[in-house]
Amino acid sequence: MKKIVDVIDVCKSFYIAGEEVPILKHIDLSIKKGSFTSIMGPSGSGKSTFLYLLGGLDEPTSGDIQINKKSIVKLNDKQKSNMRLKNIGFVFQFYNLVPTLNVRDNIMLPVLLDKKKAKDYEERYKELIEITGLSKRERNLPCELSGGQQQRVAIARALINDPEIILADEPIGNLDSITGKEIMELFSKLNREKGVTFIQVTHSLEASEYGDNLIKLKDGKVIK
Amino acid sequence: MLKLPQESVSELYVVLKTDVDKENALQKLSDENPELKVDYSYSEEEIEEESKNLIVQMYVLLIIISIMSFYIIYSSFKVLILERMPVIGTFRSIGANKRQTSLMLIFESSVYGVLGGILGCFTGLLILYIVVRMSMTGNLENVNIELTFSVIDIIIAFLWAVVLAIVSAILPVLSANKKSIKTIVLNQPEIKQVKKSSFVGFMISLIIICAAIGLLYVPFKKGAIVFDSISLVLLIIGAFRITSYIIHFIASKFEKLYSLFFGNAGLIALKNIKNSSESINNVLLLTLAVATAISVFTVTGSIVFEINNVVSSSYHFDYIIKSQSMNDEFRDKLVNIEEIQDSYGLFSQRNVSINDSEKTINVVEGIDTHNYLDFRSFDFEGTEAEKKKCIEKLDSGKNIIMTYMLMDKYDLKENDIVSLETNDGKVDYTVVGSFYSMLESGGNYALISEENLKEDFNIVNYSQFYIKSEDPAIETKLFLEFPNDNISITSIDELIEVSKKSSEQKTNIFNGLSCVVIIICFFGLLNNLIMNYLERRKTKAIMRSIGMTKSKGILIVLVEALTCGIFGGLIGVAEGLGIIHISKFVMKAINKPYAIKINPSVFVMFFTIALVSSVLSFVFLEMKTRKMSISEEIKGR
Repeated sequence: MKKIVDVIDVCKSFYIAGEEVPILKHIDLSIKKGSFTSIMGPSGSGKSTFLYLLGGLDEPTSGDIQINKKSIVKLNDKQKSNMRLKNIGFVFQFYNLVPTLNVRDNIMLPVLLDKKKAKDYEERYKELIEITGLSKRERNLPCELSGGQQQRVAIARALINDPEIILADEPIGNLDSITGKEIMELFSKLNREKGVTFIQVTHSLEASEYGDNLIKLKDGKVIK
Repeated sequence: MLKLPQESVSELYVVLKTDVDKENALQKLSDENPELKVDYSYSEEEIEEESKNLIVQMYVLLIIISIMSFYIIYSSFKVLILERMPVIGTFRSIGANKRQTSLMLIFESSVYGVLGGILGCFTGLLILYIVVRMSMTGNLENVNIELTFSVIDIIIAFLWAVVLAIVSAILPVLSANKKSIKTIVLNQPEIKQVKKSSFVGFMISLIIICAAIGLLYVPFKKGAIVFDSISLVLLIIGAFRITSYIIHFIASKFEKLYSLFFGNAGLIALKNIKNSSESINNVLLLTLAVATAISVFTVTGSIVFEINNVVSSSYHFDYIIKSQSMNDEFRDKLVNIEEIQDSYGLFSQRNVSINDSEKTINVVEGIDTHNYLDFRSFDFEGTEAEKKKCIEKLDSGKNIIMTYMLMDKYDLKENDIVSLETNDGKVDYTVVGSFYSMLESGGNYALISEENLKEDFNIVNYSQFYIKSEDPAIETKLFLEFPNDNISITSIDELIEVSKKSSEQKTNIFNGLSCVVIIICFFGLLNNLIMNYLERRKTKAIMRSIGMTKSKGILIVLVEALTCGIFGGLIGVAEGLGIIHISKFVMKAINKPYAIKINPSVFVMFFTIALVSSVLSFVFLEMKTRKMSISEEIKGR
């Protein structure tokens, strides 16, 4: 399988009260296209930070990150936004839906931000709303939905632009076990049937079992 | 006995010692000086009449500012309680019941009320001092005005602040009570049922507005001011309610238009506004501020316009001469002065009681119906010929014409009989007409024929002469002609100047207070935005995480700000027109039926201020979120 992500000697430090606190230390790894990767590790090991670096939401202190052999570290803000819009979909633990937009508008948000016409994505939208089982909730606002429903909206939003990679930060961390299982099965299905590359950060062993690739982080280093 | 000074004077002002009874002193002075007319320089009633429109406008402002403060505290407390939720959860989990946590929050609000009250009293006194300084222009420039307020006033203001803080906080506190301990402790988002824009809700809002209008026409003269005040509050509540429906409706219908002008950014902005309580709050605050400022500026401007124009529009001559002893001999001498083109002698009687009561007419003028209209004028419902005919009726019996203000004040209509208290007892007069004039404390005067006034009130001397003359040296000439008559001469230009200066004080005070309302609104907007700052930062970070560029983010915010400004401005203009309409009735209720003049430039100015305020407050917020870290926001650190 072709490689889609290359992480080359990446370090990330935060500065707290003027003191450097290293979070990630010399990370080197690759992720294959169409794979389902789980990143695990104890709290504070740098899992989420690593995921946000992959999505261009943060910048490494040193090293390089390449997506499809193109460095994202050297991209300017506009280019990074464009990359997130077209190539990456995010799913977060706390769903992070826009509270003022209803289900349909939240799902269609990446389309609208991409200067595209919503009607051109109508078929894709219908397909996603069907897969995620939200067809009766299209007009509801996020605050009117359960946690599981909100996460489904977040997944549909992540997929509407047909991205190559889905980055998920504790996607079932805030859900009950049944809903969590449903979400993971949905991920797995999309990975198998659509060939979307999934990279998830998780604490859950059950969730990690849906993946075909496991990366373990400890104290900012890859231990497996 | 009063000893008149040697120099020529026509009027002598007397200052009584503080412990002297005014009524007794007036009676004594009248008895001891039968050749002089002794009267109050200003009666209590006249002072009350004069200050009525000032006081009522202050009350209207107080109502509006209180509603605005209530809304700002209410929306702030909603956010504040969200922040207090973890603490409430902790208290509830260790055994505190809902009542105890509610009391804790209400106590907190009362502390804010106490602090706000103390600070507000000091600030209020400072503003009061500034307002007084602002009012000391024109003829009051060299007058030392003392600020008089009692401890009771301060206590009432302080208690008002505390009550306002507690009442405003009660609703958010009660809604916090509805949450379960589990939801609070685990910080779980609750599934809410969002109220959709319903036809019923819209109709209720419309009914409230209709009720506000309907109350204005309740035919109870005595309680009119109460009904008008309720009408004002209902209008503001109705406008508050209907605004969110209007925003929802327009936001749904204008999507294509926004998409056309601003692309998808416009569409997102419009969708944001439609469901964002923060945006709706901003619009509501702008609406209220624009409506208040427009109504205060318009009403004050109209009053000032009337006052400024009352002299030039009512008097058609150049000088007024006053003296104690202006009899027919005086008149004959006057008409023979070459430089005088024309003259008119007016007989009048001040403070005439009517209908055996304490009701009085400030001035009853006895007029020569043949040439009165050559020197004086007033507005009349009818043609010039009808006006003349009405005046002529005064010669055919004991007839009287009154201003609309007096007719309304004493509940009179045409053909009613009024009994005037004359020197020879009561004399019945028939009301044969009415007219509009703002002379004499907003129109507190009536006209009867010269003959009737002279006969019933035993008047032999003219009270004043109006003269027409283009000679700039006429004043000197008159003083030379009447060296021993203690005459005083006032030119119309001087009168206009005096009235302008006097109205400037009112204008300054109200324009200053309107600015205070705008400032409160602007801080309310900022407060509202800052209160929702965390949510806004988070939303921006979410949108940036899914690919929104910085420039698109700015465009969305700008469109939101412009839209809120336009909504706030336009609805504010409409609400302002409503308040102006109510003000007409309030003025009528206090017997000051000033004609309200709508000045479109005032509307444009405040619409623009609303737009700029909205954009500035959003820009301020945008600047604060400019350098935020997307990942940190998403992680919630």
